[in-house]
Amino acid sequence: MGQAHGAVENWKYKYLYTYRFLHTPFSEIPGFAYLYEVKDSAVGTPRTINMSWAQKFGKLGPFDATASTVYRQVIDLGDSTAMHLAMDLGTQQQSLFSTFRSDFRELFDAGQYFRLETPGNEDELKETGVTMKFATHFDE
Amino acid sequence: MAVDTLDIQARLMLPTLLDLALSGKSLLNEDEEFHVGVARAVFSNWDYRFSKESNSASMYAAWEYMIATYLHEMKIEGVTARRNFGYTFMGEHFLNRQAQEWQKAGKPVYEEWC
Repeated sequence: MGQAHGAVENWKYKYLYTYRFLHTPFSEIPGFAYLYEVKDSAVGTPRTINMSWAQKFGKLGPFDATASTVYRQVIDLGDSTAMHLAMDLGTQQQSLFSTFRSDFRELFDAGQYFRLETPGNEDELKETGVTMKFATHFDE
Repeated sequence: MAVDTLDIQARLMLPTLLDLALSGKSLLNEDEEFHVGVARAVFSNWDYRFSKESNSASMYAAWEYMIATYLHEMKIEGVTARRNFGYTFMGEHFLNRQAQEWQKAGKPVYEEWC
């Protein structure tokens, strides 16, 4: 990093620690990976809550994250009308030309969630099953 | 909370590593001119978060890698042992425990690993 960014005062963590969103199958084909993969800077370490895992040694090198948090979900058991989700990149991350390829990334990095409506109780489903009870053989 | 990049282990280990480096030698290498005095200034206001813009985090990560590399290549004999050190969390635990033991013993670190 010293060669690329000069004095240590100019270093930033984003220059050092990166990860790639692999594309199936083009990440395996030389020349195509550059076009189809998404590269970005990573934050955190294997020891932080916002985890990014990188091996210090090996083929990928010390600062190429091989795993990280990719999905978050918050479920409020008291609210059956919606749940809250966050994804690391986008729903169309495999599609090179999609405008939705990485549109979730900004929200994800900021720790924000998007609300996804669910049917909730609007279908007015009613309980029809028999209530299950558990007992040990001593109760028989 | 979910996006917290606070590294408690770095907060624990930084004073230890700085104390061990008081021999006055470079922390990274001679080209970088990154010495203990510079390190103390750089790390003095660090919040121990590994965020994108953090200058201190980049230096701590590079420093940690340098120490690990030295141990990996110079002090661990045998391919199997090196792989175990490099490919698992065991290496970091070993490194941190070893540094704390050296600090307690008051040994100059560069006599031990350099």
